Amino acid sequence: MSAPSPSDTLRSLFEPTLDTDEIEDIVSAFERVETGVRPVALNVGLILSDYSKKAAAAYFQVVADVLQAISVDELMAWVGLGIKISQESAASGIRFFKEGPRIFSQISSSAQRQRFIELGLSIAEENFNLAVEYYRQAPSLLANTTLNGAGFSQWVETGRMLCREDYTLAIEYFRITPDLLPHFPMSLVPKWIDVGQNLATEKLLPTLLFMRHSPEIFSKLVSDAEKEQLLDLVEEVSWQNPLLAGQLFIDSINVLPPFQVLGLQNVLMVKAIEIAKYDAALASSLFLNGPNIIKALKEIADQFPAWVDEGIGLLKKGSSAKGYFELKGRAGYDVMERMRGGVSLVSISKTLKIFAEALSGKPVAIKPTSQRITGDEPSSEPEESASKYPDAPTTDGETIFLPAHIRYFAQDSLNFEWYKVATAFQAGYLEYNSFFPKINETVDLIESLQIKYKKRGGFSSLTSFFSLVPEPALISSLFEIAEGARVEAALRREYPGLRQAMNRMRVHDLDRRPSLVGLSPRGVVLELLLQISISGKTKEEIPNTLQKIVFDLCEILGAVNDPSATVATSMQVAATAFEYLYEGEEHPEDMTGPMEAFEEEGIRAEGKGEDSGALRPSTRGMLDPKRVEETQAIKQQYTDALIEKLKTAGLDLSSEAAAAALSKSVEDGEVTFKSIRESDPADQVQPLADRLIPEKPDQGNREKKRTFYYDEWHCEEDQYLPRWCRVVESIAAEGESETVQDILNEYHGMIHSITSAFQLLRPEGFKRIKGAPDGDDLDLDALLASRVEMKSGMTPSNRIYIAHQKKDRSVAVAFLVDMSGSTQQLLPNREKSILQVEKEALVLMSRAVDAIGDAFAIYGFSGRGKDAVDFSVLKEFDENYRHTIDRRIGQMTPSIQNRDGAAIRHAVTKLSAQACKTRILVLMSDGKPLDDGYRGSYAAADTKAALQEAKNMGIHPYCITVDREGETYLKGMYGDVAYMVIDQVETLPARLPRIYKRLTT
Amino acid sequence: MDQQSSMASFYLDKEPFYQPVGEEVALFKAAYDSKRPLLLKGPTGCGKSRFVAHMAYQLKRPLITVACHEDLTASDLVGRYLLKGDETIWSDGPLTLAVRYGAICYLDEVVEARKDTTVVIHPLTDDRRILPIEKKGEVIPASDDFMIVISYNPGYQSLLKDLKQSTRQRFIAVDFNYPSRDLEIEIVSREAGIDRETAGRLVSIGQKVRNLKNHGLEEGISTRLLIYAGQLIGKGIPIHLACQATIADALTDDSEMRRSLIEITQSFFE
Ligand SMILES: Nc1ncnc2c1ncn2[C@@H]1O[C@H](COP(=O)(O)OP(=O)(O)O)[C@@H](O)[C@H]1O
Ligand SMILES: [Mg+2]
Repeated sequence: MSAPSPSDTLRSLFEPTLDTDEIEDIVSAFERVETGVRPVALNVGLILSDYSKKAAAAYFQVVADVLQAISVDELMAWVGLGIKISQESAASGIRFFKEGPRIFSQISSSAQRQRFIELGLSIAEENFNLAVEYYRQAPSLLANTTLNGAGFSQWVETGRMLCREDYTLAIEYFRITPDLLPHFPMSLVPKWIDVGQNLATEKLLPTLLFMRHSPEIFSKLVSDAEKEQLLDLVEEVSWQNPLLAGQLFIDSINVLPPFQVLGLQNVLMVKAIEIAKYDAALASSLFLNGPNIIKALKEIADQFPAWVDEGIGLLKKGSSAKGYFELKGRAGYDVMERMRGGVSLVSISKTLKIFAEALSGKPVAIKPTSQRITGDEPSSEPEESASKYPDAPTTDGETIFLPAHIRYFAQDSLNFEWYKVATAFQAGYLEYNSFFPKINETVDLIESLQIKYKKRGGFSSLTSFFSLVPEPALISSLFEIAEGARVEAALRREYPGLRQAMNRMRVHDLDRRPSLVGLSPRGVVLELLLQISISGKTKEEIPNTLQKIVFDLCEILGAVNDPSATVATSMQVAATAFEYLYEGEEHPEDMTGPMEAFEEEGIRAEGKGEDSGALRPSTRGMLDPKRVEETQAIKQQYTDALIEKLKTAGLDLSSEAAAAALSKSVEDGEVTFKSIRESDPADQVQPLADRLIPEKPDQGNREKKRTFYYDEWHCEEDQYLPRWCRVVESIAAEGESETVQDILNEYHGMIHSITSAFQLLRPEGFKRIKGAPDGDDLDLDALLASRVEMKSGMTPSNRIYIAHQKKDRSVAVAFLVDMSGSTQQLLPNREKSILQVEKEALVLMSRAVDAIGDAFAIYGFSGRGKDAVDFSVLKEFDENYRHTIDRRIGQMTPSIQNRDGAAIRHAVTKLSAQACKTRILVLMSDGKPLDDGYRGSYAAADTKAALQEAKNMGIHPYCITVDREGETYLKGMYGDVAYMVIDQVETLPARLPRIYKRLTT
Repeated sequence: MDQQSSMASFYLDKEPFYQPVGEEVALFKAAYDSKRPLLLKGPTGCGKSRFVAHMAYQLKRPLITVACHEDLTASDLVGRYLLKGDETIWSDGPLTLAVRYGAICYLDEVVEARKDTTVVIHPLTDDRRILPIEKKGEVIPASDDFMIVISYNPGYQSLLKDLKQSTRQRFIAVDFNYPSRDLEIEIVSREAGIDRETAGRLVSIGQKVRNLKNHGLEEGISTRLLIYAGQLIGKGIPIHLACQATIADALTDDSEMRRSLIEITQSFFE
């Protein structure tokens, strides 16, 4: 009998498991196999079906297609691999075969196919899942890269070896490398894996993220050398801080492009690597801030390497260069400024602020012009100033706005002088009251304008005055010229020392005025007037046709130079000048006024076509009465709302105090005037009011919490944020006595010796010093002796008094202990936590100080955020040292964060209420202030300020910290406050009493 | 007694220049006439000491001044036993001298003294007008001409250095402040021996710097400092240097503040 046809064989094979339709599908698919190879294909499939019928079904479905691409030999090897996989998982097997056609369509060379399957088998030995992943990924790798045979084998081998270490990584490896390798040399892959693995902490996620981001990140880098540099950088950082390294890598996608534009990416990475060798965190500060640095460097971005080197120099000198690289504070900007050879506002804003406040006699802020709120343009704004010179100095009455950077002169002393003169002008507008004319001085003028132009109003403000006339913009320009001249004259009179500087600046100011070409006739007149008022002359010759007008107007405006001139004078002359011009122009229809006569000439006027880029705002800046008035009005509303709010809370605030609080709040950026304008002042003042209203004591509260507010030092703004932090004080909870008992047992011997040593230091209430040369009572013994001496002819001693020296050891000490979460960190010997050691030190210390008889208090602090600084009282000055105190110490538990500044300020308040000669604050911390919005150089600066305040109040602060690495950082933070780094923390309990003794004797 | 004769040295032989600023002269006289103690409040260097000297001369009373400090004891004020040759004799302290012989006793910067020291003046400051000397078991009634004047700088230091209410309520208080511009120009030009123009500029500097209260310069710039600057200028020291030494460097250690102060002072002199 003849053998059954392959189709029948298939039918009987699948009869029991599949329904007829499915079977017929398979049969017809298989029948597409060339008849010559059909038997082999059938037999191979039958073998496969012994392992998995379902996989075999998939095989028969696709074999015809697969055979289009591969030879029969290859087919057998392929199925061999498929069998291996199907053995482990039928489902994987099915997928394996189903994907066959797609896979082989991507591999064109027979040799490649062979190696592909061979290597697949070797992986399957290791792990079938991995083999499946490989099987899926390898074809696209082969198709998209130029990997040669050896490279390909290396790729596979690397994956295989990786699997022995970590299966998940190996899977990820096969998935990602096909996308990576088109942009990444195979030779770097092992290093890439190493670095990736370096990033893993307990979890694999950082490594996976690293791998997943790799294709995109490396595709953006051009040379292999750069790619290796990036790996080196990530690696270097990862040694110290794996998480940061991962972050840095992922962010490099944003960081590097601006550097690539400049061709500086290598420099960035090389420098970062150099820094990472000192301090990984710092390196990533530099790296992550790179784009900001480039932005700040602007036109001198090519000097980036030199800028970084300056920072590295700081680092090597032992200062923390963190603020420098993060562009917090001034150091970084100062160097840029030096590099570009100009002066930056940030570096002198405090000096200018003090200068302006001294001159004007009112608090003002100094801010860059970019922070000036523009928006709805005031209708009466002089046409030129605002738009042409966005950098022009100006004021809103509360803040003086100045350009952020100036490099007008080669010499920085002149650049500074520009700032100084510009500030003097703005302060002058405030000092000489340019914005709020007195009604009694202007009433006649305004009434005459009202009649003349048949308008009402004009009394309430400068802007309302301007709008009395038909062309407010014109009179406003004239007023600006007049008022500028008036204030300049006043400044010159009152500040003779400014005259020279003003003279130098006026030359420069004139030089930078625009040419007359292209200006309207009226514009020409105004420009000439301004030039004359600035410098007494004009840059170009006054056109003949305009000479009379200009001279007439000069004479009118000249009245402002009189020492008795006020802003009312400027208004008067502006009005007169306005009438002169306006009437001369013959409105409305007649077009033959003097201005029009000049029109043609104006266009023909020759000018050298000054490059308009060189125009600069003059030091006089611009007057913006509308903004000043608005600001004033808003401030008033705000103040009223604030007072109202406080009144309902039972707090009576004077309007000056409210205005001052408001000014601060605006200066701190808590609210902007714009925001007030756009919403209800009552809502706006709520946060400020909340801060000002003292919290009512919680009667129901068992622990009696009390609330206090303290300022915080904002280093970048260079000022205190008023009542910024809320400190909540409570009595510490008591714990079991056992914890303390353990400490007492451990230190039994030491406690005994410390106590007796300190008792010796205890002064007796009153010390009678016998045989003193001077005193309140006679020392009878000495007197007797002296008489004897005298009788026997010797020179008698004059030491015959008893001095009642109240040798009082008048010492009060507060121990302020960091209880933030970071203190639960274990010491290197892993036995105790920092806090545990602090507790032990406190228990010993308490006994010592108690023995000596000094007044002392113990406070702990932690908290979260500026509104919840926890201040826990373990022992108050007036409490006796008892076991309850020990139990409170025993109960101390680490909690959240530490805002050192606020805690120090509160401790200082308490300490300063102690009437003792010597007052000491001992701060015990792990060295790093950290809280919400309170970290790094900001936190360090505030801590430093708080310690400085303590010193100013006659309190001696002393800081004890366990942060061994932080030496440089601490130096900055503690300034010239004494501090000590305890290197073997476990020795703290024994050392603290000795330190204390040294401090107080 | 030779102690009485030594009082001669406490009389002022020429009239100290004092430029009245307000009603202080009348107040002083009234206090003196009604035998009340006087408290002069005000910032340092605004003329309190000078005023007392001036009044002592006017009233033809000797003036005994005690600069108070932390270690001043009650005995330092009242007196003590001394050994003279082979006998011990009692020696009056400055306060006792003043009480006995009707001098004006001026306790300068009284808050600097310890509180247990200041209490000895209490019986002198109420109607009793007596000084008990414990060590001698003696109680001295104050001479009719005796007057006690204390000075105190309220802006100074903190809670600790505040004058106790029980002490301050015994006094008639006179508030001192910096003199008005014209008066201060007069004082500075006269005391420093410089022309009014220069003195005027110095006073302007003073006024501007006094605007800077909330920058750690609560004390402002005193008339005394302006006089010092004027004196240096009068001695031919270049103006900028004189201002720097007596104003900028004297007022602050902060480098930015110092720079601002220099800029301010320079604004007034070419
Ligand atoms: N009203 C004044 N009249 C005269 N001189 C004054 C006056 N105010 C201040 N001075 C000058 O200032 C200096 C300091 O004044 P002083 O009385 O020592 O100040 P205080 O005692 O208030 O600290 C005096 O030496 C004097 O030259
Ligand atoms: Mg901490």
